[in-house]
Amino acid sequence: MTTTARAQTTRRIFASRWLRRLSGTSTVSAFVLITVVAKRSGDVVRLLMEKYPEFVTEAAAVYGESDVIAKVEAPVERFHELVMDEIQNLPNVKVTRTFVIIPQLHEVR
Amino acid sequence: MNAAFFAVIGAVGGGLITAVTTASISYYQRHSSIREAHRIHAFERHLEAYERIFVTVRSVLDALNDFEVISARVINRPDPVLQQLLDILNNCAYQYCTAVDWRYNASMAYLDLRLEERCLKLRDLLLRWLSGQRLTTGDTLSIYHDDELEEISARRARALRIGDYQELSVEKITTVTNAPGDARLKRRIRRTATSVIKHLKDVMAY
Repeated sequence: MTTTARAQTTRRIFASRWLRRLSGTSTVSAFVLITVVAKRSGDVVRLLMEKYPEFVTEAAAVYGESDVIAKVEAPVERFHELVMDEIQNLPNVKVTRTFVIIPQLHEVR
Repeated sequence: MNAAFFAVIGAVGGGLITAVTTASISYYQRHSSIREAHRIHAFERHLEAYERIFVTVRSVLDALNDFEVISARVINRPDPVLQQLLDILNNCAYQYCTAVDWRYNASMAYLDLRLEERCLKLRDLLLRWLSGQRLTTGDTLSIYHDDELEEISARRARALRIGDYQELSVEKITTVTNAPGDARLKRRIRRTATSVIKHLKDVMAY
């Protein structure tokens, strides 16, 4: 196994341990990458911020593979429902990809 | 007296019959030429409308063929091309339904009864096609776990915990399905459309 591969495996194990520990915490933060119907990114950003002010802390339309990136902070028991049932079913949303933030590896300036 | 009387009666009768026959023939010829002139006039006036019916029915048949060919080839029913072809077929069917409607096409009044009935029969079949539900929208869920992509069921998604995945992906997909009785309906549409095309060609070749 090369050094790079070993480092990647270690990082993955480390990350997955933290993710498992997260189940015990009360709030989860995640980045949700959203693919939107053409030219509707602005509507989705606005709707996310207006409809979920307590859960969506940031939302932005971006260039690239996804159209909108939103930062979501929600209680553990509410998190999956929020992403799978509510954000996914917003008008013009086609795909959501959710990446949970590992708190200990998250830094904000 | 008797012979002369009968000769006169015979001559008068013969003359009368000849006169009535001649009058009938000339009336019939005149009536027929008026009717013919009227038909030519109506045909020339409405040729564009007949062409529209022809074009729309031809488009329906072509779109149906394209839909069937691609439908038999696709492995993945959410195929976007298949959805597009279904959309085109529905649009063609709608165009045909308006082309043979009295409110949009007065020329239907001059078609002979058999062709008119065929046109309306095809319209009924296409309306039945348009009323069928063939698009189903739903979500597919998948997770990246240990760098492997795995599709999961909705039930399993409900039981997911935060640490169970590296990435959770939910995609909205639209699947093209067959409505009940579609195979028979498509056969009937094809048969009736072919018949309408054939008879309409006869009218247009007039």
